[in-house]
Amino acid sequence: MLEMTLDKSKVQEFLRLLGQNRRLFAPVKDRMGTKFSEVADPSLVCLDGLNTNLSLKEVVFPQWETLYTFEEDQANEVKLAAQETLLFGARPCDARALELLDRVFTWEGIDDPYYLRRREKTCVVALACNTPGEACFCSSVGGSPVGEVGADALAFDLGKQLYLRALTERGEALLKEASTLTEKATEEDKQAVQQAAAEAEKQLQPVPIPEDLAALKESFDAEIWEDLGQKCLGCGTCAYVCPTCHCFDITDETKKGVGRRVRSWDSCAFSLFTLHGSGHNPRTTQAARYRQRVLHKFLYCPENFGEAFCVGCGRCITNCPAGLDLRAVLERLGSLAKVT
Amino acid sequence: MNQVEETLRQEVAKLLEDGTIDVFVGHEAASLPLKTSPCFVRSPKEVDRLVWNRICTSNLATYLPQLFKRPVGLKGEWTPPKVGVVAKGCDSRSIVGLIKEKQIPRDRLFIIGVGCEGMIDRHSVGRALGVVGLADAKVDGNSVQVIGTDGREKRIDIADVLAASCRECQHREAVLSNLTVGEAPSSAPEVSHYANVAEFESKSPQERWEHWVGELSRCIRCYACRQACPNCYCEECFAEETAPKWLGVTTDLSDVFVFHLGRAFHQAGRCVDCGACVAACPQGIDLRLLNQKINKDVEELFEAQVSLSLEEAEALSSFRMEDDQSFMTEP
Repeated sequence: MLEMTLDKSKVQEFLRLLGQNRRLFAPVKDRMGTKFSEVADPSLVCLDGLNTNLSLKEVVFPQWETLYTFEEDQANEVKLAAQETLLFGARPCDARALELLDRVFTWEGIDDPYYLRRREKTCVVALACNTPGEACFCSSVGGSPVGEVGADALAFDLGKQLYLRALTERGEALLKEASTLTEKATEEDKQAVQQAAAEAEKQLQPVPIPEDLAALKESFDAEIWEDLGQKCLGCGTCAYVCPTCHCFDITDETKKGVGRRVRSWDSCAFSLFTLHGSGHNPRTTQAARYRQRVLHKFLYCPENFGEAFCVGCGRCITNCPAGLDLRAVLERLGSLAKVT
Repeated sequence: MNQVEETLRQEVAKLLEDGTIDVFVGHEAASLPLKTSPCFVRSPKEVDRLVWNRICTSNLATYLPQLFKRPVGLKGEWTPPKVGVVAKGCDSRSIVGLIKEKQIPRDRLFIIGVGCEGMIDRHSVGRALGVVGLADAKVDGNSVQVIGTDGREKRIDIADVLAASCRECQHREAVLSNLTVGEAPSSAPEVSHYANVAEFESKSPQERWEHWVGELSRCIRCYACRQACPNCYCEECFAEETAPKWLGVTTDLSDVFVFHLGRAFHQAGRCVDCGACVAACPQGIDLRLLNQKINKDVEELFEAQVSLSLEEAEALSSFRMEDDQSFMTEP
């Protein structure tokens, strides 16, 4: 596969060139650190931050979208067009999350056209992490700070230059578009990359992840959930900043016979999440709702998709207003599993 | 361990031992630096979990109403628990408000008041660090030594990263308590009350509109502000009502504005400016400005501040002949 380097002084030019025929999303500075945002001016792109405060799932799975509009008994389809899109500087955990979302939105052969129209037009250039963020644990959940899953190309920050490696045909085609700005990677560059990768992986603190699914199932009635549930405020922050949470609600918004059907993010932490039309709610307590969040990620998803739906980005940890830490929860669950 | 923390633990152990309380709500260390987590202590053996420091930001009053709710599905007799709680000035005012609004029973509450010099705002520390994360931090007197994830160290004056509401706080001691621990706070507020509102009021309507468009376009509708707020205990929030449906589910500005303005109006005459909504917001939106504007109006119109005592009636839930009536129009 194609391996090249780009002098960092040319990054803006590189992005301007690639952004000519597509929408460009990249991290930019924000009051909360950095945010993944559509950029018209590449000089705003900031590659020095670690994880953006919000994940990039918004690009392929927007917080809300109109599925169709209606007028009395007439439904009007929304045109499913999407523009070519480049996600530049996504961290490997976020790129991997896209691969997990792909599995949900194509599950059992049922394709979600609203998701796929954007996803199919999306090219991801991931930027490997040299140092972990404050709550990172990607390597404990099957990822890596230099991981390639979900990305079309992977970049390394080597100080004066970016090293770029194409991972897919789409990534290779993209990098070739800017070949006037790049140089072929030397053996020295490749060695530097290997060293950076080893350094990055070394810095991460391992978190024990409970992998015994039968034991996790047993934890359903464990006291730990009551303990955690009483702290949980029941907001949707963890789910909304999570790159793999994908639950949504569908609502009709009508005004005098004219309306639209809207799909919007939802969170299992909300008390209304499972409220039935009858008034019955099978998850009556915050403990049950918090349990759902953790078990969905670490028990039901492994059962359904063969992998836990957590990429270890740590956003739920840094943003939880109640100071809940998923890593500590997993550790407690693991020790519970050993006892039972 | 500081003196307040030590005394607090001793007192809580006694209260649990002699059966004065069944559960104590306090703060415990969270895994990330400069973060604490609410903690529910049910046995004297657990009191060492309790901490008291400059990062006990949460308003613990938020956690009280749920403790007095009969568990769903429980059959037979149920006695509500006796609950202890540690309260800063703002927590105690929220507790007063909740008692008056009949969400928690005074006679089953044991409040330990602690004087507060103001809490560190983690978002401000983050902004001081820039785009990198916070790897470690140590509070040392009036400053905090922080280490970024890039390895760089920095000493920050706590005064520079105090929560905005703490800077203006006029009630640094609990207004209602069964017991107080520690000494009265020494420092007086350094910023004049409603300074932020006065500055905002001086702007043109266009500027004010642009300010809120900028702020509220950041909202992701996670409801962290609402959930962290002790006043937002409604079983069903207007934001989620379906009949009538007051607002849609999107992050369109019209939906977001209706939510935040609606919530602000529901806080009128009730908000104690604890800053929990600001601390909880993952997007760093300064919602406080909205609530403070209404607080200022209430104070100017009715010469009253919110929830200072159990005895005094709240401005917006009582009527006096001399109340300002200039807003009334002739039919």
